[in-house]
Amino acid sequence: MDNLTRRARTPLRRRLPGMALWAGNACISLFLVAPILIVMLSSFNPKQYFAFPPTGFTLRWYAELAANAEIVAAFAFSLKLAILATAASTLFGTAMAVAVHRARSLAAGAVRGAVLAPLVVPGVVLGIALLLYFSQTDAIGPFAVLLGAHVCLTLPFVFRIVTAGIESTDRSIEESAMSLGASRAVAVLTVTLPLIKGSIFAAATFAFLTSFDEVVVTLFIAPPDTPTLPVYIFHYIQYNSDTLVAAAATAMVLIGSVAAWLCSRKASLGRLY
Amino acid sequence: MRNADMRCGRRRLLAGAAAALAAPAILRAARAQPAAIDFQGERMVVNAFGGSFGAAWKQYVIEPFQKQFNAQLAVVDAITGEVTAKVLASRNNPQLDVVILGDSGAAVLAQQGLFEPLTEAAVPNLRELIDIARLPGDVYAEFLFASEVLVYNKNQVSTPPTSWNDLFDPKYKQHILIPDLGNSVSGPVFLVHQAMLNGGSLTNIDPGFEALTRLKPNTITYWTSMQQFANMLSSGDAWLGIWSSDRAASLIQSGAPVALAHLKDKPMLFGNAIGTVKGTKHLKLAQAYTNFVLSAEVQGNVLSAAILAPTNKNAVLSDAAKPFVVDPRGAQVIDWAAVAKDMPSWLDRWNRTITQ
Repeated sequence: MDNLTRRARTPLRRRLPGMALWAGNACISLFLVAPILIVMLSSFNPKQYFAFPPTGFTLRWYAELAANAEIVAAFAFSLKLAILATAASTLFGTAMAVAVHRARSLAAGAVRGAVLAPLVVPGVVLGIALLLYFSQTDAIGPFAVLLGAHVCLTLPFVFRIVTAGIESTDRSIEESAMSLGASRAVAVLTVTLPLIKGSIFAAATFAFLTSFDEVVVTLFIAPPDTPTLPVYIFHYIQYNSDTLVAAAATAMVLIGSVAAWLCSRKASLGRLY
Repeated sequence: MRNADMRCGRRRLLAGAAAALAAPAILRAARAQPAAIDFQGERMVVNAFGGSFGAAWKQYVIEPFQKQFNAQLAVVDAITGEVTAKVLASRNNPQLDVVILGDSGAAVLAQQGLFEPLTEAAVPNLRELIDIARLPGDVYAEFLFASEVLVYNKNQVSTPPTSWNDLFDPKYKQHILIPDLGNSVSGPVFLVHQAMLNGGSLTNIDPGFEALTRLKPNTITYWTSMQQFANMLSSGDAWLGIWSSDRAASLIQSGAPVALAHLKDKPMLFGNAIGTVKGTKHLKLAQAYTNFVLSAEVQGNVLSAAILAPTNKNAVLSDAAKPFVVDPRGAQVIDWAAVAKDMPSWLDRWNRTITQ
């Protein structure tokens, strides 16, 4: 066999590290996804008590979910809260990121620190602190407190993602717009924002998912009569260990997947970090 | 002539019989339903637990009360730990008016003076409660009792255990679920009960810890959540477990291959308490609600659905619920105030010796 034919195929021992890496990644991914897969598969089990592997196939539990007025109300409330929180934190987070990212002043540094603070504080501590503080006064309604808490929790993510997006754009484009006569505001609105559109979209998706799944802080400050869906499920499983919960969990995973898919259509997921 | 006489006599006999049959029902109704006061739409905030308990509570307590008393009840879903934290955090401006919670949390709140004591004048149904449901000073009242139970997987265990000592049998090696001390209500109950069975008591807890150390080879894990317990037992990973009676009943009724072991020794009880938060702005409504919850008819309805023992002497449970419920009269209840004092040292000892 001559040398030309042999060189066309990389020898096995050179391919081995690549294959090992691929296999390692596959194992880790499976490990991460397996619990979710088990819950999703169990949700089709005709048995009422939670069991895996499922002994049959039925969509009965999804029908029961749709018929359960309390779960549907909790889902609607969670959705409404998540949409409002996402809108507010995307707006504030983007504005703060654009304003602060190039500044070198002490104030800018303080703002950066303050915005990232909710990530550092444990959820339980934040929940108790909000409860302690806002129970002193009846001036602010419970929904406003809940919305404010969710905006606080999602703002760091929006800020971080949009800042990363801005840093990846070319500063000179905005400067050339200003040198051609645009004011700073016009330059930002017509030049910078369209450039970081993908990052803003990714940030909004992340904020939505964070707010929709939030349970720890919400446990403390949820208003009466209207729990969010994660809080409802948390209380539900204290008393019942049945397949209905698996169906509800699968529904939440599907919503998250749809959001992530929409995000990947509009922006590369690599922009998230 | 004779026919008319007989008809009159029969009619009177029938009327008398009807009255005699109706009397207990009328008496029961008169006793069970307190004079409904019209609160004219006054609104207060209470809590309920989630899942099937919460559904039963809303059906048999919240909705009937709102109708009968013309009041509005805003319901927060919260369990013992959350309720305790919320009442402690909002003590200057209570966000909840009447709370229901496990008596472990109620003891903590009572120690902090956060309850408005109940009085027989305002809450007459207190007189109908069994002795162990009332507390000195009536700071709160227990409205239900659950018991610790031993449950086993029917497919894995052929001869069910008959005594607590069967737990130490080596054939159960690595297959028993024991409640974790810090993370479940059953934990301290089991520890104290084991201490008592081995010659100790709540204040002399060493025999309890020794028993748990002896039990270590048989333990598969120290469970911390209801879901974890239900999954491990119904899948057969664990063969036996110590649980609470209402969760066991719910799992058995949903068809899992699990059964209750009938033990010779009486189990220990732990209850749920209802209390009025100090500083509430709706005291009269709170007292009417508390009285409603402690009434025989309401307890019979909601606790038959939740499968728990009532504390009103006159409450009657459905036949479906009776097999799972232990008669609270004559059983022992754990003293949570005393447990709360010793808990930190027990937890420390637990983490060092048992879960190591």
